[in-house]
Amino acid sequence: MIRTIVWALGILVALLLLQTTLLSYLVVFGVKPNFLLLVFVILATQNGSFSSQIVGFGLGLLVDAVTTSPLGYHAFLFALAGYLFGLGSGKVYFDPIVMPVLLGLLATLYETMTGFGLNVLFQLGQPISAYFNLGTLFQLILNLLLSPLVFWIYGWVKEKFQDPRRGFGG
Amino acid sequence: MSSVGSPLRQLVNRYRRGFILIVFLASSSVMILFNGTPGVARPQEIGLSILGFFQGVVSGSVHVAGQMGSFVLDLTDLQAKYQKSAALVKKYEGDERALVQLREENHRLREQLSFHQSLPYFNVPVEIIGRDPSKVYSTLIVNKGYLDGIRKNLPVVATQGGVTGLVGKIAEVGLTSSVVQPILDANLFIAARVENTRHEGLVTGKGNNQEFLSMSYVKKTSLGQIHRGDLVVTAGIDSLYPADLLIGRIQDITTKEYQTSLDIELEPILDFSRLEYLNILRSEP
Repeated sequence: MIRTIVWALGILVALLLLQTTLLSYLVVFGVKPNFLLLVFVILATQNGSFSSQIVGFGLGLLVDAVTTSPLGYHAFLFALAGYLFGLGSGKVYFDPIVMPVLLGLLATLYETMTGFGLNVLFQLGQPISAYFNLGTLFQLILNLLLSPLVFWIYGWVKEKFQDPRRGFGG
Repeated sequence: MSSVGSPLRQLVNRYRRGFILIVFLASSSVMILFNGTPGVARPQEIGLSILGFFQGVVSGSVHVAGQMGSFVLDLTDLQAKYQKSAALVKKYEGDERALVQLREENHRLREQLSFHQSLPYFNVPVEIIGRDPSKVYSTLIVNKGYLDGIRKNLPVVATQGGVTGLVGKIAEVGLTSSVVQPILDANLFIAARVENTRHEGLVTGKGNNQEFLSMSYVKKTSLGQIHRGDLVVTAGIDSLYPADLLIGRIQDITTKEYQTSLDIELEPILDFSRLEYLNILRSEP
């Protein structure tokens, strides 16, 4: 299990670096697709709740370190996401399109709603319009469109690097 | 011992998933609650120092790769450009007067553009190496930090098309990188005034992905005096920002009967999506 956590964290930290540097220039209608969240929920549905919430907490703290969000904000968001999306592990059959799209939809809605909930609960001072605006809708559409591609890339990487005896990272 | 330990262990094992989740959520909540308290921000600075280094490496590699690509493309065009340049040099060689004029013009342009000479502040030029991965918080990460003399709350500006405007302030400082909180952030408040009428107000952002600002607490009596298109600058009242730095241009003015002040929407003077290099201002070299 430690191997699974290290693998997942390694992939996600590399993606975080890419998301904040190279991929931050990938802007469509002023909106950036959230690859980090998409890959995280895909990993969570594969690895299960236990390891995913640990990975989520660690990743969240790293995201908090490079943003002006209060320390703990993303840690909360990703730890809970790891738990919730991890519940689907082993119970969902992944086809190439419908399930990734559904996962992208749920992940984007989860991020917006939970972020808004934390904002209200801890009085973080962000206006409602920061969560619910046209940009959120565009991001939702972008995430939906990109989910199958991200899932396909994940499958390809898994196939290339999977250890046939021990499985992918485990 | 084992008879007492076993049921407890069984219980923990059975509910360990939920138990760990509660621990994580509780820790996160405590961190959020105590955010900003001295000492709590330390892990954030350590994380930024480590990640900032790697962001610099990734950003630098991308930059180098991009440059190499452009070098290859440029080589194909080099010969033609060289010939053109050689012809131009020949033309200018005999034209002393034109050269003097060009020098003078160049000097004037330098005076206009050179931010370092025009403000009584020392500036540290920095490059953006990262941007916020989330959609609510709008953060910029720059390639200089504590070791370069950067400190928290220093004002950050940028020049775009010859116009220098306020970008925000330094929110966190790592060893070799810093986090800039831009004026688009809903949690950053700046004392400002309308440039021509000198009416004061408070400018704040509306959150990420919304490149508009709002200015509040401007007295209703100013309604006839301020207009769409007027410039808004820093007031210089607080000690953070120098006075008269450009913030934005008035886009819309609304008023409600029950309010004593106006709601003003501003368009930032800078296009934040095109920012690459910034200047951090400090009062000492």
